[in-house]
Amino acid sequence: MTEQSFERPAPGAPDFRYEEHQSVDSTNTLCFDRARAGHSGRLWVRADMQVSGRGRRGRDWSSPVGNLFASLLLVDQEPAERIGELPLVAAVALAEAVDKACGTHQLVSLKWPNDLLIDGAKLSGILLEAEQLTNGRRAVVLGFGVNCVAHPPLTAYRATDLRSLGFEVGADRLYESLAAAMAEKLEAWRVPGGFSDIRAQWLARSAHLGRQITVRYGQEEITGIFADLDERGHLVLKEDNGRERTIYAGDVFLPDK
Amino acid sequence: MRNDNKKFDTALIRDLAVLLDETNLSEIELEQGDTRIRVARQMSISAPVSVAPAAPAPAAAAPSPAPAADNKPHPGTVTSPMVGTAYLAPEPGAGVFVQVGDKVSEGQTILIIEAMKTMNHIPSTKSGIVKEILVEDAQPVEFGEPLIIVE
Repeated sequence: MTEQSFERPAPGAPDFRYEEHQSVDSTNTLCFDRARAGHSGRLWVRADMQVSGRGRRGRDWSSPVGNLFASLLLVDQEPAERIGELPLVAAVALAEAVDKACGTHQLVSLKWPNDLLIDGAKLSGILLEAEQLTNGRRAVVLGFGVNCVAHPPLTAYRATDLRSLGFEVGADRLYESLAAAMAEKLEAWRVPGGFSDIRAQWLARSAHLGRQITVRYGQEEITGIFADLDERGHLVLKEDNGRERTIYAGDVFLPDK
Repeated sequence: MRNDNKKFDTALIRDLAVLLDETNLSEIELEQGDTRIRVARQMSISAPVSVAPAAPAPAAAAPSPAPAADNKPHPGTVTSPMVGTAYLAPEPGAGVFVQVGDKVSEGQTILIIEAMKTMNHIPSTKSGIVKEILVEDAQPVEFGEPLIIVE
């Protein structure tokens, strides 16, 4: 296990392990490699750049040097039946980390379930993956990509980065804030009933609560008012006919976009 | 079978069952002459009734019958551990994880289920040959829904 010699306590979160690389295929993939090799988790993997960074459903995640790429590996460290709440936990932690690193208050708002927006433009992406390991344990990987110094010219969404908004926040500083915030949020969330605070913090930053949105889900598109998050963090959409629908997965759009 | 007694027992057992519910007791035992009736429940969803010593409890007397056993699924069926969207390929346009006739080993990822933006890699629960794929790409699936059969 020569690779593990890279490990040291994580900056910002001394109870977590940490390894840093110049270049990797993807920090998420490396986390799963570590898990399959028997790593016990609570491991952060960071890279200056990713050769094949990816987003949801294999979408490329542009990964230039200077932006933050970090993934957190958890192995059996979270309540299995509540893994669906983790995207919101991660989003709230990253939002608070950005505020702390930039010295701002509520700079970012949230798009369900886990995108960070500044003035409606996408600042970051979070990709969660889970896998049941052959030893019966469950690995969950939370991958974070944050546009610190540059953003890609996306077509589906408007994007932004911290530098272009006047915030000179390096990936190192943002990472430390993120590691600390994740440690704190995971601790608070893990206890029974711990999600209710996270849900409230998420709702306080919601970009679209009470507004009309469109959710694209497979071949289907549903439009309605973003009425609430249910107690598990699912999106509750109120359709024109007054019917409420609970959305478990999908892409959120504003109808005018 | 003592039909006279059975009729009598049925009414009595019903009464006892109601009593059991009202009092929240887990068991009531009643002895009358040579008939002894015990009404008991193990969990809130089922309340087994037994009549001692001779006649088995008439089915109608059970206050809430135990749920019928499900049809046994194929032993090689991999079911969905969650509500979500099943994906047969790692990304749109890419090759599928497995096809019918493929050899798979235990633990190998056979599809992805997305729930709450979490991509869950679903492993095969056994080694063998993929006999059937029961879901389509991007199909919503329910908890416990059969996904794939491996033999």
